[in-house]
Amino acid sequence: MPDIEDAVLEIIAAKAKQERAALSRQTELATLSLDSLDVVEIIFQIEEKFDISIPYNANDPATSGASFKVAGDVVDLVQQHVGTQAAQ
Amino acid sequence: MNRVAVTGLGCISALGHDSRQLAEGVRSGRCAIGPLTVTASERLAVKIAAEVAAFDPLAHFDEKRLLLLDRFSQFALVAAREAIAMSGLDLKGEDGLRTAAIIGSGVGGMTTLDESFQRLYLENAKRFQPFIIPKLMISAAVSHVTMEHGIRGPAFTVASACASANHAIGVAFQMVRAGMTDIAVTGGAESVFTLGTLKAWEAMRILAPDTCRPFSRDRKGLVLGEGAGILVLENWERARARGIPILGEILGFGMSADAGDVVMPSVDGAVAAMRAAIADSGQSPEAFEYINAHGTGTGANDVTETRAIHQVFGAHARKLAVSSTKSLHGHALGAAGAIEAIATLQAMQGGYLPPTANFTEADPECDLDYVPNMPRQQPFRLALSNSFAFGGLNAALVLGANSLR
Repeated sequence: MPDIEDAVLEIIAAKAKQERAALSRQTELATLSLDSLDVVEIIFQIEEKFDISIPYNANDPATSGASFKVAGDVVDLVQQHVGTQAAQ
Repeated sequence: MNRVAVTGLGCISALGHDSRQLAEGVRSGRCAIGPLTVTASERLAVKIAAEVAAFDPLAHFDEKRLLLLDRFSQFALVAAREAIAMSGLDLKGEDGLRTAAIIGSGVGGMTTLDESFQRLYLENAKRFQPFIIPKLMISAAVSHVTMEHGIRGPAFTVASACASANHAIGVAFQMVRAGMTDIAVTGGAESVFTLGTLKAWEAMRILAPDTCRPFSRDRKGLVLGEGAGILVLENWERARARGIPILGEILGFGMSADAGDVVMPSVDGAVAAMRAAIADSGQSPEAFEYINAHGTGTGANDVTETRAIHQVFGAHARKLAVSSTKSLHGHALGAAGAIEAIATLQAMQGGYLPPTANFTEADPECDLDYVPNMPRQQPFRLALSNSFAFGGLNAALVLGANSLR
């Protein structure tokens, strides 16, 4: 689902004040100098965009089921939720 | 400078409707966190809270009066009645002229706001009830306390989010100490269990889905609470002359601002507030035995607060008992500091250290003695009580047993 990947990377790039083209699935999130507020904002924008709920807890990011290491982890998480929540 | 005695305590919280039930709950380590019931939880991801359960407003107020009382004002009035009755003061006479009322709240009448806007936006109501404004204003609680008891001295509300009650008690303490007033009725009140407020809290992604586990490695965030805590502060000599029991002493107050992030706490800000409070009390850091921590149970607060305690107390930090009673009564926001100061004073009187409930696993970054799960029979006479708010506003109180000096 390339459209999901593109949209997620677009949202992350905008928060990180980077060109969309500078980001790929392999981009390490730690290199984007995103603070905890940015991450919560990114999750919110993704939820709004795809009409899904991601169980993200800032105290314990692992509860969402993703490692949040590289941008591709967020893409995978969204694809998984779009798939299961659309099926419901 | 006058010494400042505590001569009355009143509390309504998740642990019960009076201060005796607060003490019993803390003393037995009973966690009052449970399913959210005061508002519908279907649309919420987090379905737990530390509610004031089985609260019947009509048991305390008549119907006409309730038109003017938001839930947070009801809590303030219930706690103030208990505290003032305990003090034995009649403020309707001359004493009321020399009495201040300073009560903290984080947001004021959210229940009223939420219900009114729901009627307007969803039900297309054509008009509001006449007294929505004085019902929801953040100063409503303190106004009603002055009216019910005849308090005619300085009276106002202090708002600094989760530090509101500590700031209120601190200012009241300074006024009694300076002789600006002889008596102060002070503390905090809060009630935010509306769908709108809870959705907004949920959006921050810091609420725990299971329970509140301060300082424990597997902590998942804070659990919201509600209620009110009210203390009667009184000029020490005056209280002694009246011959009533002195329940403890306020010895110092310190404040600071992080001037940093709006939600991420700072070690420097917490250190500055604690140091200021200790210096104000004239006590040496090594004399402290217990800290009632801000201890919200979030990843960020508990590590930051632990580091700050190490910085302030040095090697003595290892000898301190540090606990978070939020694990028992939840995070009551603008009422938190008052409920926690009361729990601390009661523990001093009872000779036990309040526990940190729901503690399962040590966190390498939180390496102090948190009095895990069970209270400890151990007398103490000098304590610090911390509140660190969103927006970086910090306030710490120094509390002493009546036998300290």
